[in-house]
Amino acid sequence: MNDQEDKRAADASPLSPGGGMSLKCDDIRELLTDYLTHELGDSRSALVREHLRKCEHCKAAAHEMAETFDLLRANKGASAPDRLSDAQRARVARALKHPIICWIEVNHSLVSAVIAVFLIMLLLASIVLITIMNRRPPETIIDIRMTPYESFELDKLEEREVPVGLSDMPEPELRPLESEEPTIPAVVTETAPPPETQAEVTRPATPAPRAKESHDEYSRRLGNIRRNRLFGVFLIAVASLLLGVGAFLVRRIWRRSDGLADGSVEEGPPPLG
Amino acid sequence: MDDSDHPDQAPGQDDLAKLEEIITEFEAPLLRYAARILNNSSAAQDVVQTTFIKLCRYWQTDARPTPQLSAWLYRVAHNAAVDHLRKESRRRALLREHSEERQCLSQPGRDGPGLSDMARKAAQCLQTLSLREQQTVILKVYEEKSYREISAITGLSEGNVGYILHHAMKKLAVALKRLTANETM
Repeated sequence: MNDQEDKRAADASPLSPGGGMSLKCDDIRELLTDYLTHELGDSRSALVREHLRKCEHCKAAAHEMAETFDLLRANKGASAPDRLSDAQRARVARALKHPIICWIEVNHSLVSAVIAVFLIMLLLASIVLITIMNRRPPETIIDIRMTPYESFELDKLEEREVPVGLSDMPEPELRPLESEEPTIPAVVTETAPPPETQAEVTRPATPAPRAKESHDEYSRRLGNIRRNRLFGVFLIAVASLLLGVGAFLVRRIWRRSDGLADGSVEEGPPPLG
Repeated sequence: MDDSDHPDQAPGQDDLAKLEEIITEFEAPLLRYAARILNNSSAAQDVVQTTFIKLCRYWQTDARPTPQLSAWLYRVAHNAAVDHLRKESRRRALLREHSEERQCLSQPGRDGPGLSDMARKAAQCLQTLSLREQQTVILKVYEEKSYREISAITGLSEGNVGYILHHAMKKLAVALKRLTANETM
């Protein structure tokens, strides 16, 4: 019921005689605050005034409430700053001239979080890329079929000062053609020293080629593995970013709903102009 | 050079002058209101600064100080004060400080000289009310707003404002009586 309806109801009902005074005390006390703050209409104020003149209990209640108002008002002169500082005024003026910078300053925690996540993503991606690029290329198996007659150690060949000549070759043992020795495939390591630790032997840095796998197939498989690893890192980074943004939004919505229960009010845009 | 010749230009001197006019008009009551809610004058200045910065985000060239703008500024200042209180309570929970420290935040010299002990107690009892009740009491008693103006600021109906104010004053009266009785015992 709004004030205008209250006024009409009050004007319609005359003050009841003596016996009705106790019935009206509860109603009068509910109106005391409005009466003391001059929010009651003239007719209802007159009703309350008349009742307080006759009822000592309600008069005491009104007196107590008026004292409370006076005590609060006595604290009215408590010093509060009456203007913003010059630095604060300058900041407000800067907000008008540079709204984007101002938005960043106001939402610095969100901006900092986004930049931090982006830098972590960049760092992770760089580490993964550098790690992949610096790994040893795989051992390449070159299938060299040599007969025992022709096999010899390569390092001994390099130590020789003179080219190998027929005179340096050991005397071959002539054997019948039927007893051919099985060919011995030689494994030639193109790069890198032998592994120094057992761990490196048991767990190679890159996947070993499978049996009966050609070099092209192996390179293709290795490329796929590297791409998948990069993609995995990228997915983790994007998921982390989305999780962070989602958590921020949920927290904001939850704070807003919690804040409304706490006494915050809807703002909306300002009525300018 | 007239602003109407270049409508898309950045805010000019005219806008800054209008902003300064609005700030001068409303900063004092907003600072008083925020200081009452927060019981801290420096935090009140930050809150009011935030309020005016928010106004700049919605700035229009034909802005001018109006009662409707005043109500909006009070709403924004109130919400900013609530956010500040929420952050403070979280910070205190992390640092495990006692709740009485909030009352100690008021500077000793803040209250005027000669302020009676009862008046000081009344102000302290005000802090024990809910935020909604505090808001209503502050706007009515200190800012001397009408129920209609308080309704525009808080979004409550006028009847609801009267109801909340009445019960807040009753609680204050009871709290003061209890405080006085404890001291005389």
